[in-house]
Amino acid sequence: MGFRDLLGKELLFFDGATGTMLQALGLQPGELPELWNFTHAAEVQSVHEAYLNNGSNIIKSNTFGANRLKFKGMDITVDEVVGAALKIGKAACAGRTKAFVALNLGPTGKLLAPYGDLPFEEAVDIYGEMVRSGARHGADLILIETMSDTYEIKAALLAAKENCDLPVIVTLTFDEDGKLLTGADVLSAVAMVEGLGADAVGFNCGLGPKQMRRLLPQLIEACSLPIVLNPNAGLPVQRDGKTVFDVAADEFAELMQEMIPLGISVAGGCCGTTPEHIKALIEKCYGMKPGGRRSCDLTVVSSYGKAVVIGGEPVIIGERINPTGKPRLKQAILDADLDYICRLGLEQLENDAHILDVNVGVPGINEAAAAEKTVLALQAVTSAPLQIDTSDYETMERALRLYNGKPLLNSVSGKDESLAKVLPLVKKYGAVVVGLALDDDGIPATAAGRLAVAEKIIARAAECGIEKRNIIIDPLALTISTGPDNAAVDLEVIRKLTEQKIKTIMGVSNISFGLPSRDAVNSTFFTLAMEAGLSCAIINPQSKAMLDAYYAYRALKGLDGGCKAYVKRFADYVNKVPTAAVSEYTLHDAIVKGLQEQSRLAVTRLLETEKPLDIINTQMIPALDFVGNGFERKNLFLPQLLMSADAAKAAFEVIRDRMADGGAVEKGTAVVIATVKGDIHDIGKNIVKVLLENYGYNVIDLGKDVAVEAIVKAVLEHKAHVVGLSALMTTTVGAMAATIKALRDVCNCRIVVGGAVLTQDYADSIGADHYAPNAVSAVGYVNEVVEK
Amino acid sequence: MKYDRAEAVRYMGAKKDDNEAAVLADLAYLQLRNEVRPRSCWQIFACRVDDAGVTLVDNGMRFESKNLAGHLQGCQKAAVLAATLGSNADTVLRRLALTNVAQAAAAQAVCAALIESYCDETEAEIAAAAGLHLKPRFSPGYGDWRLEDQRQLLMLLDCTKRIGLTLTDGYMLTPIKSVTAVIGLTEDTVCNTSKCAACVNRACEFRKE
Repeated sequence: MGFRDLLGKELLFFDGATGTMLQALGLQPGELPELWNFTHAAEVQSVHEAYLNNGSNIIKSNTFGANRLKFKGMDITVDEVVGAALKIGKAACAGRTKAFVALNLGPTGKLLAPYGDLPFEEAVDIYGEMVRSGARHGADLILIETMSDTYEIKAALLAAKENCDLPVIVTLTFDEDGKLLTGADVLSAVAMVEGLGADAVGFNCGLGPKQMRRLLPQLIEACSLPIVLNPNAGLPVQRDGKTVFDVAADEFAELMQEMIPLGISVAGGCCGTTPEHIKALIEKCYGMKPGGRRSCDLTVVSSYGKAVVIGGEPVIIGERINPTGKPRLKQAILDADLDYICRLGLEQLENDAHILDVNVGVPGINEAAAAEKTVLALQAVTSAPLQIDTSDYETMERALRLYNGKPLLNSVSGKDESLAKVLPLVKKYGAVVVGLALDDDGIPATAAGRLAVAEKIIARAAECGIEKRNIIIDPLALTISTGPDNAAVDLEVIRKLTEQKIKTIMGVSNISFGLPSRDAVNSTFFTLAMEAGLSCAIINPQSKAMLDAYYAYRALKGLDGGCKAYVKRFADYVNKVPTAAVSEYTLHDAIVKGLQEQSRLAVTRLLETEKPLDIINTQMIPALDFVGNGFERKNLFLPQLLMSADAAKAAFEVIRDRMADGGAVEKGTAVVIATVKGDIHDIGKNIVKVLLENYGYNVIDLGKDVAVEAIVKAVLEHKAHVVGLSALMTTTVGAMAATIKALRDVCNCRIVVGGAVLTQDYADSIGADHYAPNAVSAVGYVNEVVEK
Repeated sequence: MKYDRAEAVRYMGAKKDDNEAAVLADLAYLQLRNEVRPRSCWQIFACRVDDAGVTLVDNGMRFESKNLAGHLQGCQKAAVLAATLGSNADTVLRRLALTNVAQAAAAQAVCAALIESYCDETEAEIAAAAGLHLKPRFSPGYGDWRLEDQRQLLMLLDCTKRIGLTLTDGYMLTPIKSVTAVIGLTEDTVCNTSKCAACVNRACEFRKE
């Protein structure tokens, strides 16, 4: 019988710790355990056999860290290590029944970009190499274990599914608070794991059985998969300067025995557990009934840090990252101005959006590439889940693939082509998908017609193996200005679907297209739709009327205990809005004093009478110069300089919005800035960037850890006159020197350098044009050379 | 983990009595408070110190650095420590850099102060466990100690698995707000070494003489 036949049918047992056992046999701290597959094969095999002799069904191959990053600089291939490990594992299993070798895949040891520097696809490739070797050398299943980063789990799981047909178990390592190291809770991580097609999921390492028991209910409720539990022998304790685990075999077995009936299908151990622990465990639990698969009707979308459950309280999806009718955003997408796009996202989250819709479809751009960049940039600054909104299939696939979590996809329709193209992507990447109630004949006029389309979508999805809970139907709001029944049809569809426990979603504001005072219609319709059962509303969370309706609805429905959130909203609202929306300061003074709101108000007023350029030249730049001079003379310090910079930036944003609306977007002189290769410290560079932008420069910020070639390419592409380079560590100033040399070879741009460890002498020695000991000096230099 | 506002203000490059800086630091701390997840791991090793570097007795791991050797002079034992504020703190820093650069700078400073306090608190644990006095922390990248040795320190403590601490290709720690260090353990109660003394950056504004 194969592993899949047994999983969930009878209680299976993993082995215990490998590392603990190898250490007892002489493995030293810092030594790579995988090398023992060559040097101590007999010892490794003896560990496997000790577990198998005591009744384990599954042994973990000694390949936890057998990825190519670990063997850099050694004359060893991944295939050799994995091959040797599996040979040992298979030899240990030989002649036994119900004994399986799991190809063990642990973390890469790197943080994935954008959080660290390992690109996602490279991580997929690293795991893919291990999986192919494992399958070739006869692994019975794949175990992805000790995972504490959702993104890395996704890379490993995709690699497993794409490179073999073996069953895959994923076990995650949570802390006592039920969080992964990267912040995800049980639901957000497990929803993603189930979506990506794991055969079983569970916990290992980090915690002992007692602590896992506290988290177990969350795991059981989060998914329908069989559950695996491989705890440590308790929490680590320090003894004589060393880490030990001290839950003894009998106690371990008893604690495990209590948990099996809660729904466990596979049980074993991790750090500190020995063959004695596993022996005791199996003696106690042998023959008990496994939990197997359960039913689960949760609709969940998640990111690396947060899960949003759909179908409970109404969920707000922020609609503003969509360029339709928004010239400034359209321009930002064309310019790849990710900062602006991210700020749009963050503003909506501050105004209580739960999920952000992301649509970057602008004619003439590579939408897939733009969507990839935008998803990465947003996920670098927020853990709110995203709704990927596109009709382009390539964009869908690439964004779904790169997304860190269980994504929400907008959308599939009842059209045959759409169903055929989109549903396989939804299945592969484990997304929740929005199903539009329209088909090849268009949008049905009646509720019955739209419900029929919904039914078709759900049926076709089921054929692809997509559960009903992962589909959310959009009844499609059409404006009441052209059809008096349009609202009634939507509400009817929502009511009927809600009765069938099918979740719904709607772009609410379309209902008022062509009408005046749209907020009044929208917010009333929103309330009606929530009452009909609407699960998700795609709205502008910065619309006061919509959010007021949302909070009032929650209070009226008893969803807001003591009306706390309602009261807080209005208490905050009064505080947020100044009584007189007129600045008490001139723009110049507001900037000098570092007052953002005042500076916004002042510039808005000035724009009524003056041209943007005049405002910049007569008020903003003199104010920035004044503050810069004060900083250099030490009359004021970095905090004041930065507060002024933020105030000026706020004013600039108002001006830019105005200019974009008028269609006249004038870009300043291009300045390229970057933190050089190898260095990931960027606060200094970020400060320089804000100051330069305030002076009107077109700053091309390449970010941190930027390769020499990327800097050269950007300088040539944007014809930049000035380049700013930052390095914080002594070890990375070498990369700065290399960058300068490469730039000198191809252009005659001016180069200004800065960073904590730099000195005038060093800057001279590597051929920089200017050494900036601080941000003001850098900006002063740029002003000087550009004026010439 | 103690939040030391005065230290944060100092790291921000502000004067001691700068109220605006103190307010910025407090606001940044409020944003960070629920996002930082400090974690640490450490272990005590027997060590041999010679002129050119330090060798761990158990596994023969070697760190070539005269400055480190000077720092551990006379110590038979050393603690290896790794600590991090976690990757969510990094997310807050990136978010603030987009929206409010004054608070971003303040948050950097607050994180620097927090990780220092956290290391101090962890050192108190180490001192209690070892029953010895601790010399100041010394880290790869200080003086002549190669940054590349971060890799050995991380492997020694199994940092990725235990606290989620990783290295970039350029040997930088990620999450960014993290520390690795070697700490000499001694029976001497008088400390006459300073990590600043080993540093080549004579112009550093934070230099303590």
